[in-house]
Order: sequence, then structure tokens, then C-alpha cells
Amino acid sequence: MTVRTWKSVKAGRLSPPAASRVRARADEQVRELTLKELRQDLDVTQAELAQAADMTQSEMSRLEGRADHLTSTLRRYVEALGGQIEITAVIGNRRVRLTDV
Amino acid sequence: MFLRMLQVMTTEEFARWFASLDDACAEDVAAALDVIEQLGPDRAAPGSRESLLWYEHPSVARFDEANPIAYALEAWGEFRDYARQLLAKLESPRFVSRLERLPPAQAAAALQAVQRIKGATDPRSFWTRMLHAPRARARDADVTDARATLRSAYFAALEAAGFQATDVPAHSRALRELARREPAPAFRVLYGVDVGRETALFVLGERLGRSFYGDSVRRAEATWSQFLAGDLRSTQPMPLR
Repeated sequence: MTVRTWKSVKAGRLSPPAASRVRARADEQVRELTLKELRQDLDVTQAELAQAADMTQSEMSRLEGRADHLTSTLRRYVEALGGQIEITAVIGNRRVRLTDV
Repeated sequence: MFLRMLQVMTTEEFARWFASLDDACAEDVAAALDVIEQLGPDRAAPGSRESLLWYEHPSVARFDEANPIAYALEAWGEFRDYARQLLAKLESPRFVSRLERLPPAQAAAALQAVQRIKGATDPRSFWTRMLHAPRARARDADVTDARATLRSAYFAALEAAGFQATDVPAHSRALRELARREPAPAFRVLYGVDVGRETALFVLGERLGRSFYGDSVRRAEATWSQFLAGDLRSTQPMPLR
């Protein structure tokens, strides 16, 4: 019995436009992580992150429960997790990374 | 962490099934596999389960649409997998031995947390919630909340016992199932994740609606065991990682 790479199996069945659509859908689903899930995935407690972001734990709790965030708040949160924020505008087929936000 | 990707392989049988799908369904299946690839070894695909045959009965296995009972059964399987893993850790000789050596107050705190988990895993409370949730999305949210409750109690038990609070692994070496019921056509894929090799093998896929699928699971489990034992060979060079 043999196995094949998914990459080759997918390339053999999907046209390039279909493969692009699939990639975009998967990216979107993976990005659908809440801030809290992101923190938990990194095994960081709320208290640890609050300390790293120079916030109180109750501020952090409110932040994670909010549905809408300022870019600066998001940046602070993600940088405290050791990451970086990138904002990309998607217009039609163009993807432009915004540097002035 | 979850930013590590999996190396994804398929069996010839899975490749043939995928090639036979119509365009729309092929895109749906491909998106599901790409998500699993991107989630990596540390994060299980939402909705995927290791409990495969516990509800093996023709009248259940043939649900092929957005049947509320089928959703609730799958949600229960996902929840039960997680609860079982937590309880296995809390009943392990290492945890019990630590518990015996703790001061009474700490031991009581740890035991209270264990009791909270056992209470939360009571099937009656789970099923009451599931069967009253009006839609699949609400049930998904309920499962997420129910898991978060368990995780919080688990971490409390670990901390009270002086262990580092880390979650149980997302994958064991058991075969997993991911079913997609909406939109039609509904399908399931059976796959396994070898965390050590950071590799997933998709063993087979099929449309939902078969009157009996135990034979598929048993065949897939045999193939997955062969893969784990290194008995499957690749028809293409494995990518360097």
C-alpha cells in the first residue's frame, strides 16, 4: 500500500483558480480564532499576558470579551504574546499590506 | 504552537475518492484538509473526534442531512473525548501519588476541581443542553463553552496539586473523523495525526448516508496502524522539513 502527498493529490484535481479559492477559505477558517483561543493555544494565562502587556487582569478579561478592537489594542495584545500584527487590505485579487495603521 | 503545519499525506484510496468528487465538493473537502494542515500538530480540527464507533447503529450512522440528533451525537463524541483525556490524567498514578502527599487544604482544592470535572461530564446535563440548542452553531458554541469549563477545572486541579497547568495533547495516535453535514453533499473523512512526525494521513473519505460504516472505520484503522508502523511507502519523495 502506498501514500501520496496531499499537495500532489490536490494539484491533480483542482484547477489553479479553485486551488486559490480553497486556500483563501482555509486561511479564513484558521484565522477565525478569538484572542482568547490564541492565548490559550500559546499556553499563556490571562494573568501572565496582562503582566506582559502592562494591563490589569480585569482589563485583559474585558478586552478578550470585546467584539471590536482598536488596532493599537490588538497590537499590544499580540506583541505581549510575542507576535506581530499585520494588516492586509484585500481588494479583488490584490492583497496590500498596510503599513500606516 | 499552532503555527507549525502538518505534512499531509493521503492513501491511494483517499486520492481516488477525492478525484471522483464534483468540483464544489472537491473544494469543500480540500478546504477542510487545508485547515487541518494549517492547524498543525498542536490543534485538532474543530468538530473532529476520536470517538468513532461508540454510536455504531444503522439508524444513527445513516443520518445524511443536517439532522439535529446527528449533530448532538457528534458534539457529545468530541466533548467526551476531551473529558476522558482529562480524567485519565487526573486518575493517573502520578497525580494520585502527588495528591496523597499534599497538605489537606491543597488536596481538598484539587479534589474539588476533579469533582467539578466529573459533574460537568454528566451526560444528562450535556444532553439537556445539546437537545435544547436550536441550531448547529449554537451547539458548537455550547461544546466550546463546555470544554472551556472542563479545561478551567482541570487547570485548577493541576495547579492545586503543584503541577504546571497545561492542556492535554490535541491528538493521540487514534484515528479521527471529521464530518461535514452542511451544506450538502455531506461527507466524512477518516484520518490520523502522527504528532512525532508532524504528519497527517487521510485514509479515506466517503459521502454520509451509508447505512453502516463500521467496516470503513475498521479498514481505515488497519491502514492507519500500518502507517504508524512505517509499513506504508510513499509514491513520491517526502518533502524536507
